Amino acid sequence: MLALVGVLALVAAACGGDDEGGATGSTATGASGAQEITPGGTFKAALLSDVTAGFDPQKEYYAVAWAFYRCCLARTLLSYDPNDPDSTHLVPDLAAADPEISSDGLTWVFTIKDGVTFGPPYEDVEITAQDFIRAFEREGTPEVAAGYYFYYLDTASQGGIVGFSDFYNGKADSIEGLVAVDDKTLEVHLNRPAGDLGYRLAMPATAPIPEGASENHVDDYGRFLVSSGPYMFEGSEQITDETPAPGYQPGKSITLVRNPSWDASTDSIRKAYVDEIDVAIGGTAEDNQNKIDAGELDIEYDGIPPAEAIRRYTTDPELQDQIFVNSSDGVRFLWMNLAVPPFDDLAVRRAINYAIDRDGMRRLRGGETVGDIATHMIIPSLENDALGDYDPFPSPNHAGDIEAAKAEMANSKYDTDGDGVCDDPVCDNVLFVTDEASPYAEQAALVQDNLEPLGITLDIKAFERSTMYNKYFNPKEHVPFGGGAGWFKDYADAYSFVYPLFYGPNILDAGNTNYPMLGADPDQLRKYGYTQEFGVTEVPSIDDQAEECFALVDPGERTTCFAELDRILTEEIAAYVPFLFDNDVDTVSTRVQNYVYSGFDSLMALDQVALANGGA
Amino acid sequence: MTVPLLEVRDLRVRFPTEDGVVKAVDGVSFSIEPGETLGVVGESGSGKSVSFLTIMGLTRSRTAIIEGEVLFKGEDLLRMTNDDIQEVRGSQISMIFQDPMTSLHPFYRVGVQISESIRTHQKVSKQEGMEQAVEMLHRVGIPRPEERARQYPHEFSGGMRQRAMIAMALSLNPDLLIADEPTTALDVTVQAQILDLLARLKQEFNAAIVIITHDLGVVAEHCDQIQVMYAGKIVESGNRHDVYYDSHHPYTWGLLSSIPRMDEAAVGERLKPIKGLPPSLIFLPPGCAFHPRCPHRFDRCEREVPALIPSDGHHASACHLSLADKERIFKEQVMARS
Amino acid sequence: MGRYLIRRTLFLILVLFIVSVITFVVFVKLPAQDPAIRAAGRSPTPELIATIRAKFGLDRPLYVQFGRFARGIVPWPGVFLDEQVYFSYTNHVAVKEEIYSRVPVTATLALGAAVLWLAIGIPIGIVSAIKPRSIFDRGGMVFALIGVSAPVFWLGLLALYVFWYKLQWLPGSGIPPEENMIQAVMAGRFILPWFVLALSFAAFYSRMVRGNLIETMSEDYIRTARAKGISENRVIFKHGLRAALTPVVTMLGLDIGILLGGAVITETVFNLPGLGQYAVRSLLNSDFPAIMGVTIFAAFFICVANLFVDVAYAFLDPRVRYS
Repeated sequence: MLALVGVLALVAAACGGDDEGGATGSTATGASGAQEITPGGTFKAALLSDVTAGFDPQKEYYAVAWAFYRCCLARTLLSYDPNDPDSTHLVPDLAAADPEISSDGLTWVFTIKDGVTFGPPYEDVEITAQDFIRAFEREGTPEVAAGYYFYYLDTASQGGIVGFSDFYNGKADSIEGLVAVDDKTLEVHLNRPAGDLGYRLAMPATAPIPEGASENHVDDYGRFLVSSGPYMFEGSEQITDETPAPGYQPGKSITLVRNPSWDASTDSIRKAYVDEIDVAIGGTAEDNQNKIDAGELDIEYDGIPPAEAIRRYTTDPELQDQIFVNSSDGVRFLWMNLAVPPFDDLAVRRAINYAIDRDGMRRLRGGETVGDIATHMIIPSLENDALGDYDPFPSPNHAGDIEAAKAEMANSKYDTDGDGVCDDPVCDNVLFVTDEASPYAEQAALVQDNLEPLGITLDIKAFERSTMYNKYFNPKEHVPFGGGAGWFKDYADAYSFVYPLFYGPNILDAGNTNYPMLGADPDQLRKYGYTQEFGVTEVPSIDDQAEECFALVDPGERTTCFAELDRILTEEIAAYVPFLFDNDVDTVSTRVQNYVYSGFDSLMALDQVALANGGA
Repeated sequence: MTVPLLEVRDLRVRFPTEDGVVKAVDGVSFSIEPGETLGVVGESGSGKSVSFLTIMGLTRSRTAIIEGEVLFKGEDLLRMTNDDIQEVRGSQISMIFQDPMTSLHPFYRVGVQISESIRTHQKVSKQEGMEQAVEMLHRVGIPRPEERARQYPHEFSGGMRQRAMIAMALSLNPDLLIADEPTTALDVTVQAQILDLLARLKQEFNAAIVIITHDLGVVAEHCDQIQVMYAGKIVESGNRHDVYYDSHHPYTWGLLSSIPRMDEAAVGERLKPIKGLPPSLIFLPPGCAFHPRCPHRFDRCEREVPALIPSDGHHASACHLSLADKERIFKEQVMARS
Repeated sequence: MGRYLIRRTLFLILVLFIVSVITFVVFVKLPAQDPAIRAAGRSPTPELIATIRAKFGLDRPLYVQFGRFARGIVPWPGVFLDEQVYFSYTNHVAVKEEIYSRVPVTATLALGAAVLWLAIGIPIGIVSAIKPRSIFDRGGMVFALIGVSAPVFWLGLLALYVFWYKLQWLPGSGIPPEENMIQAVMAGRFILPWFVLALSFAAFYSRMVRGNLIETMSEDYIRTARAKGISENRVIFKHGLRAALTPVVTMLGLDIGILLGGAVITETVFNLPGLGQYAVRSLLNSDFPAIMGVTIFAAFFICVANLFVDVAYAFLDPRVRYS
């Protein structure tokens, strides 16, 4: 029952709970054939857990919340059309057209669409450039504790909005780089060119906020959210400074109804077929699946179905059109701490990459349906699949090659007699920190089996998910070897993998996601105690390659650059053992029509779905 | 001769247990005349309480084997239906018990409990029942009876509780009142009061009374007839003079000798208990049940159960000794002490 | 009586205080994530974390932090679980508001189940006591064993599967947001939860009633009652039960008091938005103000239930009347 997927999604979105994601959809699998679509009806969804920050668009860094923003509540300057087979393709949403970018790439000018107004209670207020600036300012206000403000900082290593850092640090009371030339024109100035700025402007935190709506709600704006999309929280017209919208009952339910202000002629992306979306929060995965089978529920939104249901739906011809499998654009992996022996030796890391039975790891999670075997860290869609069949540690059926592993191990300084078996005490009882839920615990046992012939024994410690992440996030914990991690893209650019995961300067004191300490400089190693405890004074780095890629503007060049970085990372650094490119699996009720997968959030698009006979 | 109020013929009560069959009452026969006071004396296990509980139909055990006849005003109580015997209880035969604290329901007011007794057998309103209860409390000598009737048992002293029980038992003017160890739980000063009360009430209500006790001293003053029981049988019965001044059974002699005495001749004297222990009611000794403890036994005692044989109209004993021997031994050993 | 109540109320505040201290200490010692980091979102800078810590008062010494919570212990309107301090870290709602909106669900669940378990347990206990070692008694014992052994979540899932999924006699889990308690009850949404929750209690109560009644029926005053010629039925019900049920009343009060703090498993299995579900979520999310709020609230209910039970007991058993 407690497969409360991604529950403690504190580390929600990009880090690995079970279903989080970002950016563009890869394959938007169509729904039940080409049928007549009748609008209308109430769509019934279920969530195992509530969103993580009270639906506050500046705070939420969680795929489920993002799905609701994109489909229904928070239109942005640029957005994605789930029907578009190219999931990296940004289309203007509240912008009237693609932005005009200056030749030096430092100025982006947006024209805002005419005649688009906010939802109740601001239904007479037209959306202007100032409203976007307000959203950025909120994102840059420390008290708000915004989820991903760092994406907009103008720093030495990142191309961001000029003056955002100063605003964030209280040195200015407005963001210099955002200029509302007039009501309908917004200028965005960058400190250095950033080819992926468009993606960062498609994230929900940049959706416009009307004046007065969020001033008194530093902590709880979510319940007072003013919609700019086709739907709104039921009862939004009742919102006052004290009265929240009754349509969102934290921890209990979300009820979305049509936003009377939404004009379909201003929105080329969203179909908004259904009249109402009812979401029940809580329950168990099995119970929800039973409800789907019984037709009382249309989809279980934030989890994957129980393994038995996956089997049933994929094998029963009557049910096969009610199950959808899509890449969730994430990778699941083991990671090794470059600053803790024996993982400070490349030979050991390469040996381990040979030894792990990747297919077994996948089988324990549910088999082929749950994803493809991963042989490198950055997901194929972000590299345009440039690495193709790249498999630097090949083995039959990806089941591991112990002989090749031993051959690698023989090169290690920890294998003094070169027999392929580690004989240094650092290989004994290596601490392996993982998640106590299924299937991680079983996978840990497999890893232990795989590594034993190399002379590496493990001390497996499984924790509750958030506790496990606590340990990963803290460089001072010196976790040597981790097994419960995953990473999902924030948007369709490999930057959202490389910067948080592999880039040295982004190693943080708290909430650090560069678990292996890749690219840490000697000061950092000393600061976090690695030098003192293990004598490690330097670790490998891909910072140089990364910075090269960050600076490129042309998407094709970026992809090629990142693919090469991935290759170097996989073969020459081998700090990770990736094993699965994750899939999202959905089962739906019989009345669901036009299932379209949104790659942006790796969930079904609620703005595209319809109900048979208009839900009658 | 008047018809006896209660006639018990060869009553036997046996309880099957895991260890064997307990012969609690082993052939008891006696009768009680209207208005008579009967004292029943014996140790615990003698069968004195069980006999009368059985007569009332109040034996707890569902597996008890009851034989014999109990004729009350000519009708056999043992063969009555449940409804009929419930009619008899409380209105024609009443019983009071040893510990009035536990015998009264702790959660109901005293007056209500007495009133309940009345209203079970008579169609009377609550108020009238309460009034009668108050009247009864007055008659048993409880001061301020209206106040007391509204109190709970734990607010009464020991003696008062027993008075209240007596009030309850007599509230319907029964023909027979059975008092099972009525004074055992009370202290000595109160004992006398209660016994006097019973004597007085017997006159007023014209009821027959049975006083069951282990204490010979208690029955000395008030009883017309006295029965001594041992191991489920009556071993001696007679009037006061018979039992105290002319007893014919070694057990009775033993009881008399073991009474502590306060007069000069007895000062410095050791108490003389009866040697040995009462027998197991499952494995009774063969022959006379008392013989293992009897200083006067001879070989016939081990073989033959002595019957309760009258020596004159009102005096009977169950012992193989000859009448001459009994009188002799009594004079020499028992009376000598007085 | 007045003085007694005042004494008990002061005692109640003392108990709440102790409970809150223990909760606070446990939480501080637990390896849960620093709430400031949790609230700070991903990749927070040290400055951001510091700002948030200041906001939550986490940078103050522990006793100062505790002091902020301690004020909210006093069960007085306006002070109890005040909104400043008892504000959820996770879903940004005042804890008090959440608790009050969930109490009706838990209360409906607890009280309905109580009625049911009394209606089932007491008669079974009586019959078992009157006819010991009969087939009824043995049946009652089997029932009790099943009721006490069957885990609630298993029973709940089984009940849902059989009665909702297969037979479709009863509605499934959850309460739609537009339904109030009365509508939800009329729609039959509480029937399975009531039964599932009541079953183990019914089993326990049946054994308790059986034991108490057997013991009571062997008391002397029962013999007296029979000696008065009262019918056996009246002896059992008016004399026997009256005494046998008194401890049951006290147990009932305590059980309801505890349940009002949240029937955690039942609420989770049937997805009922009550206090138990809230408690679990708050724990899983390390949401300290919510945890503190729910704990204090539950402790409050239990203390009040205790008080009721003591007063009721004095009412029922005249021997216990306080002066």
